Amino acid sequence: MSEATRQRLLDAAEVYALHAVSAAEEADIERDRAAVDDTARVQFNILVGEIQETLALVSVLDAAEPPAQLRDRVLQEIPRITQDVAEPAPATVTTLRGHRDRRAKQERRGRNGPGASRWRTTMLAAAAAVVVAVGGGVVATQVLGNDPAPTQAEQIVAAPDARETTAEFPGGGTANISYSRESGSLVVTLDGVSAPAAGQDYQMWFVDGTPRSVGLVTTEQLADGDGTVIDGMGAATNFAFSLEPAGGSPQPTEVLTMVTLDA
Amino acid sequence: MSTTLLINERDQSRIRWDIVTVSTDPTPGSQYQGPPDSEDDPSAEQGAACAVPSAQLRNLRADEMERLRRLMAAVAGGDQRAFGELYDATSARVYGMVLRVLRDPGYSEETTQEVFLQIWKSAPNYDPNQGSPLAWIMTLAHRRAVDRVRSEQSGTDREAAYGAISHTPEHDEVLEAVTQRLESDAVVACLDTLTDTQRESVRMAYYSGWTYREVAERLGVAVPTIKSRIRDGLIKLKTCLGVTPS
Repeated sequence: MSEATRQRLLDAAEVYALHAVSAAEEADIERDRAAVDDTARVQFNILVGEIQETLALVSVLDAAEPPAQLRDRVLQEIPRITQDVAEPAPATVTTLRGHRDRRAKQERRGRNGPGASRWRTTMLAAAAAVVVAVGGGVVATQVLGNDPAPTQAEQIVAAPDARETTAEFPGGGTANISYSRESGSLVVTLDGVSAPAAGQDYQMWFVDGTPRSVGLVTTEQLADGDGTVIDGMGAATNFAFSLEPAGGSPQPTEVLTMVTLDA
Repeated sequence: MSTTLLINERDQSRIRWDIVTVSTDPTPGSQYQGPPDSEDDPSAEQGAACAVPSAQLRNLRADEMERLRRLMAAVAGGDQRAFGELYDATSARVYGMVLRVLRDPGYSEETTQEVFLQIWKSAPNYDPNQGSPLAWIMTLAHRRAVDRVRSEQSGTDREAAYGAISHTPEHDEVLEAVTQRLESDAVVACLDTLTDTQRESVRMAYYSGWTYREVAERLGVAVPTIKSRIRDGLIKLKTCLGVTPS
């Protein structure tokens, strides 16, 4: 990837999001998007996502009721259309205890099915955490205080397929990240990372093409260096930290550091 | 008066469907004022205060998004009744936007039907972590509308049809909920923070089905100029609407 490719890609985000490019130019943009590194790809996806959210809000001014018979036609048609098969569940963050409870429930219930049951599981997990709706996303945060029970984190670190990597923060300090593809989870431990300025938060993301929020970094995480277990790695290729306005954002604002999660 | 401005004037007389004019209660001063009398000056309107969105609007917006998320999740599980609710919650936005792009009620109805069948089919693949349900739906709908307008009409035909239909939505019927009323006011106020040329460029690039190069040609300005007007306009809009927390 060249710097020129990166520049060209980011320069195209707006017209791409507006669908104001020719088919040929769109293919060029897709090619650039595949060619650049993950950071540039995430930046591009964020820009496009924000514009899509903006235009969705603007659409309130165009609203016009469609002819009444359209509703009936659509509702008559859908039973004949087979729905696509769901992709893997979204990321969730839970406390160690919540995580264990959820796992136990899943095991009792058997394999976690797609669709509504997946959503239910997500909501159960969310109930174990503090959930804050932010713009276009839901950010789950939790405090991993002095939970005396161990070892979800230890189990991940000790898993046969466990790997470890380190992300360096630009302002000093590191995040140690252990993960296990088998369990679909990772453990984040911060060391020497200074607290963000007042009115700002660090936010964590899984990235697989586009970023998925997995929650804010808490002051406790910054202070004690306890490991935070994060579930729902799915097919994520990267894990990132960003700097956000307090409370977090639906999409990363400024990516500070990012690591690659090996397949 | 330069050639450029003459071209602008001609185009704008055709495209009087400015975003803000469709509101029943436009903010004073937000009405489209006609052709710009100066080239882009990024600082020209930056002083315009943008006090939206209010805390109330943010809360209502979050509630509405949560409702749509729940409906999407149910639809993903095959719930046809939930799909009916999702249709009721979003069809006016979808149809209204599509109508603005296609300018033809018949085509717009067909395209809206395709959009909702696609929503039903693809709902299991909607990932709440990758954006709001409304953005997902409107992006899908806009894509369909642009594909349709490009396939239906050659560039010349499109130009002839462009603005030929005077479309005035009945907003009192459509925008009953307080959320939509507040959202509508916020959008009108935020559009007013854009310069005329920025607003015109974003509008044409989004609603006409033209590529940005065609937009540049129609307006008689350089391609990089159009791109920066679109970029600057969208940045103002998303910041003002609170899409980018500031």
